[in-house]
Amino acid sequence: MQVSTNEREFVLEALRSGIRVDGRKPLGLRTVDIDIGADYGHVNVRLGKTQAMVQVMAEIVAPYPDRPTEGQVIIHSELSPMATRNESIKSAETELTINRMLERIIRKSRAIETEGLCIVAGHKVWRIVINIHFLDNDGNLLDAACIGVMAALLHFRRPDVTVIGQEVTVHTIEERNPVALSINHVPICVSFAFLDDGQHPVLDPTLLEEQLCEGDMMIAVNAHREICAIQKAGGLGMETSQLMLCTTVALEKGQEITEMIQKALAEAKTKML
Amino acid sequence: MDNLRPLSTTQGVLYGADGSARFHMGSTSVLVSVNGPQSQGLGMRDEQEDRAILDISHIPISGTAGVADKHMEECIRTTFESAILLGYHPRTMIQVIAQTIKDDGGLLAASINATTMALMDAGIPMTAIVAAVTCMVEKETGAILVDQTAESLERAKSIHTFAISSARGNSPDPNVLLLHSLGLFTESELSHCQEAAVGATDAIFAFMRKAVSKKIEKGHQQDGDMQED
Repeated sequence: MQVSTNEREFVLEALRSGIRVDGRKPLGLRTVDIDIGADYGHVNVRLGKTQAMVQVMAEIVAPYPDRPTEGQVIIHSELSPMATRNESIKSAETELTINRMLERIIRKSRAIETEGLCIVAGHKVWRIVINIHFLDNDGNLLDAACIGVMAALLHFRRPDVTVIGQEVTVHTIEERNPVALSINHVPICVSFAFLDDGQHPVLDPTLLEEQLCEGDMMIAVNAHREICAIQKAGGLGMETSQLMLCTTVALEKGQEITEMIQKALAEAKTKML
Repeated sequence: MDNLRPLSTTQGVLYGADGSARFHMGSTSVLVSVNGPQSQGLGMRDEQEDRAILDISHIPISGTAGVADKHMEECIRTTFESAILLGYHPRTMIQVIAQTIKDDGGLLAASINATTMALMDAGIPMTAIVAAVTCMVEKETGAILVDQTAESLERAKSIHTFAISSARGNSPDPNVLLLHSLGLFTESELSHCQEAAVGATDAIFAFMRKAVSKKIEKGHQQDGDMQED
């Protein structure tokens, strides 16, 4: 759906006075709501009106022949019609971008220790499957997904196994407590959109802002103040000073969001006891 | 209500959809979004000149939609084609998307119930509302059990999903819109299952009506939920 000229002018005028249509400051984040589910690895995230659901599962598979001692991490993120509203071309691009970014942020940055997923070298390893469903799209699906995935991975417990030689015994939850995944670091993605000829970068864009933006940038950071991934693909050319500013903001917001995730997990734990 | 698992429903949970609802039967939970009647997404070849078409998608929690999901889509579509006044909106499409949140048995029934709530939330005109429930005949005891968990369903000799319309007309007999059966069963077993299903769906109808009244009372467009044990 195209945005009307009136709407566009309204958004830009507001931005020039330092405020966004939903009342936020340009670098303000929407309300983050992390709902840890009853099942291990089930998380529902809301970022303003945007909503994503994540379910992590584990299965035992044969390892890749060239990586006999490593487990596997599969990210499955499809844009269902719930999020796309039948805009086929745009949604295919969006789906690809989201999937690529999540692959880089989570798999390539080695957030999960895959060596720890080995059961019998060369024969059996754990495959962690991360399913992401986008339920409501009001912009910035990627950041919402990333928060959900990291919360779900930290929450997830896989069954405990005993290995004697080549014999593998998978214990049920009743027999042995399930085991947490070995998470090396928690990457958080922070996205920006550039509007009004690049003069106004906004953090965590809404759907309307995404439709009006001339360029965008996604920065994945972690609590150690490391940058895990950056994507600024095409769009308007931005000055390096602007990009550095965005990076600084991202590091700060990443820290905030990591704390929110830890808080949500701690609350869920006390509720369970 | 004592043979059904705890029911819980919330309408208007999504901002991007015309109508939406979550429906929980015990741990089984489905989220349905409804868009329409709309012309977006409708191909020239698909549109019908005298009625709306129903487009159903059923999405599993993990992986892509498989044969089981496609089958459920068909079941849901044929069920609701009988209940929705499709003739009121010719040349349009009503899009229903059912997302599995958790499957602990009775997924099809929960999907149908969630679809009813979502259609109401979207204001789609219907001749009646539809309630569904799963009924099983236990292998060992021959007992007729309603709305069982996945674990319990493993011990079934046959499993039946009934979708029943709230419209009775002049007849005391229930209007069965869908009967989906698995396994071997006798006529008498089926008859007992139907009896049990009618009782259960009557309770579900009462629950649905209460949920909608509460939502209207609250007066919120985007907010209205109800739980019942």
